[in-house]
Parts: sequence; structure tokens; C-alpha cells
Amino acid sequence: MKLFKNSSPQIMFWLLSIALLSSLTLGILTAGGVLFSLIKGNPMLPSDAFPVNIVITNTHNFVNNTKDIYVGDLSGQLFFVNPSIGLQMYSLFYTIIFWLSLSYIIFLMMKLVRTVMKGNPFVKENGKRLRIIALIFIFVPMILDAWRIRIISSILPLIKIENIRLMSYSSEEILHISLVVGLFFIVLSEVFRIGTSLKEENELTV
Amino acid sequence: MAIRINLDVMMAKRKMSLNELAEKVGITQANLSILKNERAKAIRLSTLDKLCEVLQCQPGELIEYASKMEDV
Repeated sequence: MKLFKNSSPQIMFWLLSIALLSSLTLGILTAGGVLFSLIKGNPMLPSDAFPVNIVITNTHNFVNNTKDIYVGDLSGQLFFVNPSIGLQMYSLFYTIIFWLSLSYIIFLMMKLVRTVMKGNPFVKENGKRLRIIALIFIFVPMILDAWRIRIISSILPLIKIENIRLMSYSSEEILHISLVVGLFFIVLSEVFRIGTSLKEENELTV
Repeated sequence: MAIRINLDVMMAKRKMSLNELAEKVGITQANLSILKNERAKAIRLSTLDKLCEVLQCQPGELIEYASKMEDV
């Protein structure tokens, strides 16, 4: 147990390295796939006009699958809608921004863990890194979500049917969680800032 | 900071090098250098006690407050 305790920063560092590698790989593959579908295109012809109370059942597809946008009625029948170029572009940018942000967060955490391994975690740079992580957690989901809502509202003109009721996956939970995580990192960066100043004062006490 | 450290003056009076003083006081040369160059944020009373003992002086001879008005 003592050995594990002493080597936990090293273990964390290697786990973060693996996470960074897989995050970058997945990001490149996903972005590549989205870009490929964007270039190749696969327009679906809109179905025949459908009567009232159309419900868009799965907006997750708007983000992950630019080929298929499902419009479903209350009886469960699904129809495809031609995805707009704007939506496909959004999907590509969403993918890139999401995976880049995640990779950068992991990269910053690796640098932080490295200072822990050297036995000197309370440095100014760590405070800055934690603040950057906090800002990413707070603002990136907000921007992507606002963008997603804008895209969804732009879908409506594609569907020339009256009485459309739009339902989407609630992403409020994700937004709330990321806000809380961002606030936590702000508090942590403040702790590191105070720790750094206390350490400096201690070092300069003769 | 308006606190002045007159360590080099006392060292010159007692003809003592930084190395020798550090050894006698029991602190590292690096720390003594921090004090001498007025980069220190605080000094322990135990360190001040040892310095006065080795340099045969009063604390006021080592540390003085130079008010900003005096500079003018």
C-alpha cells in the first residue's frame, strides 16, 4: 500500500497519457468521419407531408449523425429529413471543439501531475492551468449548447408541416454538471494560488 | 519595502565572509544571500539572535527602517 501511495502520481500520469492518446485518436477519427460524410454528402429526400403533431424524437442524431435526421410522429413512424449544410458543419465543429477541449484539459492535467511528481505542486503555472480548465468547463458547453439550440431552430424551416412540437434531449444536466465542475476548478485554482504565495513566503523566510 | 538590511556593513566590520557567517549562524549561504540582498520576506527571531551573537551587534544595527520621506 505504501508503494502504491508513493507512486500514485506516476500512475496518474500514465493514465492521463493513455487518456490523452485515446482522446486525440477518437477526436481525429470522429472528425474524420464527420468530414468524410460532409464531403461525400448523403442527402435524404424529405418524406411526404405528414399530418399534425410531428415530434423530433432524437436530436442526439443531429450532433452525431449528419446523415440521418429522424422526424417521428406520435405513432412511432419515422421519416428522414434532408440535413442542412449548416447542421453538418456544426457537427464537424462540435466534434473538433469537443475533442480538442478534452485533449487540452488532459494535457494541462498531465503537466500539473508532473509538478506533483517533482514534489513541487505549488507553482504559479498550476494556478493558471486550473483556471484555464475551469474556463473550458464553464464556457465550451455553453457555446456548443447555444449553437445546438440555434441549429435545432434552423431545422424547423426544413419541415414544412404545421403544428410541430419540438422536443430535444435535455442537455441541461450536462450544462449544470460542467458549470459545477468549472466552479470547482476555480476554487481549486484559488487554493493553489494561496498555497503558492504561502510557499514563496516560507521560502523567503530566513 | 522600506526595511534595510545592513548585513554587508556588519560583515565588513567584523571581516567575515558570507560563507563563514552562514556556517556560524547555521543557515545556508543561499538563505543568507537572500537576506543580504533584501529579498527576504521574513526573518526568524532565532536567526536574528544567532546573527547578533556572531556579529556582536544589536538588531537595530542589522535592520533599519528607511522611511520614504527620508529618501525625498
